[in-house]
Amino acid sequence: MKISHYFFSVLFVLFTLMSCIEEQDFNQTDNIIITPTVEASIFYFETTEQLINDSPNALYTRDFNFDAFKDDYFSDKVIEGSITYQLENTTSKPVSVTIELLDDDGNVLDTTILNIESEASNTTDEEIFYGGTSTRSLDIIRNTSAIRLSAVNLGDNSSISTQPNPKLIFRSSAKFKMRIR
Amino acid sequence: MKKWLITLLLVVCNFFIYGQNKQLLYDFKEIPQSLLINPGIETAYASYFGVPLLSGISFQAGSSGASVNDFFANDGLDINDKIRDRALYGMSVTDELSGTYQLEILNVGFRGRNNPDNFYSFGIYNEGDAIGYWFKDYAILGFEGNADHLYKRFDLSHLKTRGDMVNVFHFGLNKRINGRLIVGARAKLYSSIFSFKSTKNKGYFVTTEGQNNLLTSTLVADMKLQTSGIESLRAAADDGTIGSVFTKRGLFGGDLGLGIDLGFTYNLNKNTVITGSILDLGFIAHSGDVKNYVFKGQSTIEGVEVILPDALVNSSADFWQDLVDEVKTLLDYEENNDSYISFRPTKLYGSVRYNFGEQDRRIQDCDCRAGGNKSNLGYPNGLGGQIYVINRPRGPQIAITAFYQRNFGKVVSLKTTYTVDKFSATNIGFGASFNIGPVNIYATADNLLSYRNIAASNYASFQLGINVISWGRN
Repeated sequence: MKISHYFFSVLFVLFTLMSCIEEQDFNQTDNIIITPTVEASIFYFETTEQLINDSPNALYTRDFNFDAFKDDYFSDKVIEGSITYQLENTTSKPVSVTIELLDDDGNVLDTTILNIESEASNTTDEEIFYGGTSTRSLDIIRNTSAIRLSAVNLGDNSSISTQPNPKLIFRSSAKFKMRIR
Repeated sequence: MKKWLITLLLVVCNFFIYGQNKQLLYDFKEIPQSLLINPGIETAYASYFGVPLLSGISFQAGSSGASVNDFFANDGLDINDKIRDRALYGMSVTDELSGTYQLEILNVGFRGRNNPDNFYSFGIYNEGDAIGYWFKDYAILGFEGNADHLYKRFDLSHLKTRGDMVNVFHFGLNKRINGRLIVGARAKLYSSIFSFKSTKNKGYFVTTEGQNNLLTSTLVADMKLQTSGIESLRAAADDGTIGSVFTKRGLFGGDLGLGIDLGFTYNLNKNTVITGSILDLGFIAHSGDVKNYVFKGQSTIEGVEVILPDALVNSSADFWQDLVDEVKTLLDYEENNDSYISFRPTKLYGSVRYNFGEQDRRIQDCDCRAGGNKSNLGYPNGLGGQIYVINRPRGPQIAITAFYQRNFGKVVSLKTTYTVDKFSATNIGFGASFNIGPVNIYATADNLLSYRNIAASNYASFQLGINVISWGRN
């Protein structure tokens, strides 16, 4: 009987007196930074050597609507990033490809030129940075609503590649960091 | 505001898990509310009447993962590192945040006048329950994005949550079959105030090296969120009539359901007792004010694709818009009002108890009226073990409890428990029941060791209440 009394008394006093809380700093929530980096392909272009040979003009150019960067959520949150371009050429002609980022009025915001030799064994890769420490402003990205792709055949219109199924291929992807909070 | 919301969320997370394990109240037969956990409990009183709104107040919450202290301790560490180490990569998808509360509105019990072997009880209580498992891959995707996670499948099934608020109208019968066996059953009518459920999500999002372009983004989704009552509460909040909508839906104006509790007590011998109960074996049919959100489909994209000469066919084509339209077609989002059924979180309790010490003849004699003198009531000491199992969206959770109960006549009963489960191996609880004349006051709380630093606690709960008890001939 006495042991039980003692046991429960000690238990009660122990837990009552021990109840406490270490110092918490809830202002740390102000320092929470959420900056995910997202990446995805953005544009792919492919043409055959046959089409290049059949083309009367050495220059192919076309504007393509591209509204991904104009999305309010993206343009409000983006803080830095890059666009990666890649050119692959198995045709028999050296090619120069110009990529221009255009705004709503068709003004050129940024230009990137990629050159590649005929039947190139390596791709031509270029990563263009925007924002952060780059000299290129993020406003270029925020205001881009179209991509102009221009390809110039620097060779002839008759040669045939030794490669099977010769093509000129343009690839691109974007990788951007966003500040969600 | 956001800061407070996050703080509140984490504080709530801090006190979580086990859902409804009331290991202190279970088989604490000196407290009338133990009848709600085992309708087949051995009862000593002739009748009881719970003080409305004060007879049974319980709250439990917990987090099997991180605690408030893990994030907000003033330790000089960068909170972003703490979130990354202790939440993003420190918690697993089986970690959960859950909580429940129960508020008795009415609780009355009385022994049958013509058949004292029968003890009847009825009442109303309001109950809220919610659980959410750690949505790990969503959190990683949200915090870090998909870059540098090539080939990682972000699993959409990590979103698994359910919750509801119901009023429960119940009527129970506790019957002594013979000197050894007591059985009980409680019928329940649920009146759902609101409910949400998203437990069967499937799919993934993955970024891989592209086939044509540099990267391929693939989304496979089969997701559904089912809700009922939330739309009318949202509208009522705008109109300032939320109280009346709560009342209406809680008093049979919402979705209705049925359930049953079953329990027993069996005296193996003069000192040894086994008990068991199964609670909330039931369902609610949701058909009014239902709104479901369904997202289903599969899409693989590599950005805008222009392949000549095919693309020359339509020189004015908007390839970007075509891509957007294609994705919208492949990933179907819809809202509907289809009725659905939600099952109650069924609980199972069991115990074995060894009573010892000199039996209080007054309490034992009382029970003679209701079944003979083989009662296990009136012993000053009880020692034993309990098991608790609750059905959860990711499968059953189990808790094992050892307990010691000490009764000081009819006036004071004390119980202490030590509980082990996957979330804690140091859960010590303490409960007390005091009878001052006809007034019964009880209070229980557990995980008391965590009170050394409440902010570091992963779990806490309490139950308290006031009843008026008539001991009959005692």
